[in-house]
Amino acid sequence: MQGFARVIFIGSVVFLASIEPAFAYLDPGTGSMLLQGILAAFAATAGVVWTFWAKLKQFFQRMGPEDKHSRRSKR
Amino acid sequence: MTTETEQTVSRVAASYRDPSGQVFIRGERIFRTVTDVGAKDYEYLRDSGILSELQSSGDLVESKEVTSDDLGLDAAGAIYILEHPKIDFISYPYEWPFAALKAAALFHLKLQIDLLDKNIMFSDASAYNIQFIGARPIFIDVLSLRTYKDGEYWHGHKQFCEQFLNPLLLRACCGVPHNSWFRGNPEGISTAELSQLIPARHKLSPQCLMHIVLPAWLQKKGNKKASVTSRKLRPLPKNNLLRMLRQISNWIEKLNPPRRQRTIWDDYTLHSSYSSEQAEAKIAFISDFVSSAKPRVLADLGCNNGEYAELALANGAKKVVGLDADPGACDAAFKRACERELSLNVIQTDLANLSPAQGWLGLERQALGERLCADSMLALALLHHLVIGRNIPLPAVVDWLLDVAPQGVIEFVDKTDPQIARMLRFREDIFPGYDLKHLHEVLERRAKVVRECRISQSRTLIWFHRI
Repeated sequence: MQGFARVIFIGSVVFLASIEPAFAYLDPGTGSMLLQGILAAFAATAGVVWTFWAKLKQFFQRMGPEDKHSRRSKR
Repeated sequence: MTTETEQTVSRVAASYRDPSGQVFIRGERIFRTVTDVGAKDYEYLRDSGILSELQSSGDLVESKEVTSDDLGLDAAGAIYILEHPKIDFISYPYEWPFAALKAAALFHLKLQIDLLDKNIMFSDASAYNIQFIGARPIFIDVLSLRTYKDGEYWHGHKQFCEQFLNPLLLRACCGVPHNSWFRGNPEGISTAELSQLIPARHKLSPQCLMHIVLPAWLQKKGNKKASVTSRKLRPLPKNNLLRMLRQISNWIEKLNPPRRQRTIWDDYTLHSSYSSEQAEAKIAFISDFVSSAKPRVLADLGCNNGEYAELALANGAKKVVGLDADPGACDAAFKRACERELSLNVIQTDLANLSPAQGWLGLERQALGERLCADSMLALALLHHLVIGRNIPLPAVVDWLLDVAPQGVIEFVDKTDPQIARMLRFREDIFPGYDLKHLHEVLERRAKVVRECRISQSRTLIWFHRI
């Protein structure tokens, strides 16, 4: 399996892991479960990236000129 | 005559997969058992009021709890027994026109999205869980509703794709009606096989990549991979699940048969065979027939765009089942039934090859001929399609029509008609027995002619009643 395809496949297999016991008679299908595993991974990654981005924004806002001025005037 | 208690109870042949319960029939009554596997979810649905809310809105089939005496059979393992009203006419997704399958798909997704707000998830996504009352879809499997578990995946995704999405895509992207393939494979059209056929320009769309190409590829690789590392399953947040459902719903909303594809019926309406007086005479004749017969169920064989089905309903028919082979005609008839809220079920089928009994032991899905219990029928401009178009002998076709219903109207089109002239243009005329006189001879062996009307040079209406 070539480079990028290998990454996608292994990533989805790792995230799917032990197949959840089926709630009913239905076979959910490997392809569908792996696809949703990828979506779940993106959701988690997006959550991490979003939190990091929000913190970064907050950090730069604190370092902004208005904040420096207000801190000096408080002393 | 057996009394109700003596009538045998039998399990519906298609009801074997689900361990939460099964469906039984006794005479005209339909029962569903709820076992200990399904009891908890059923109790939650009932006690929270969700069950009655869905039933009063008409989205879910009604049910009432009954005792095992009503079922009349040792209902061992049943915690509850529900009785459902019988649905007038059962049809299968491989008999639905494109427009009906699309309506059913959107109905399933909308219901799932609404139910997720109440923390309910369907345990499957079978197209056979939906029936049509006229053009209105209704969900019939109470036991498919269960509580949603946070982070769970959509287990019905594969089944939804195979039984709803792929058949629709086969028509929308490849221009091929889904019915024959779906009928041959009642579990649905596999994503892997469809993926081979979708043209590249559709395949590269983000939705196709996500729901067709990628799952097909992952399935192939997943089947080859022997071991799977064992780690905790990463949860799929509810918002992401909802987003996926909405995305598919928006996609299906935009799916339509290719515009450039004109069916035989589309051309037919441009070359209509009646003057306005002739059309009025036909309408009057059929109105008289229907008002006199007052059918409970009328079978309109070769229903075209449903205009005579609508006429029949306006003249006292309680329900009409319209059958036609042409996809364009069936879609138009379904849309008419939808927009005008008609009690008209539309079935897309070749009348010379009605869907047979099939599935496990050939019993799961009943033959269309057995499900179609009509007390009246219309066969308007149909005979020549079967006799000349399909080489079926006239006596055989007439015998079949008389078996479909005890009374009806046949519109006979003779060989001088331009339509038949077109059919015989490049063919030898091997139909010496195809004329009105011979039709009368054959018909009067088993029926009497109540009224006859020649509405044009080449067209005659015959109202008959089986003896």
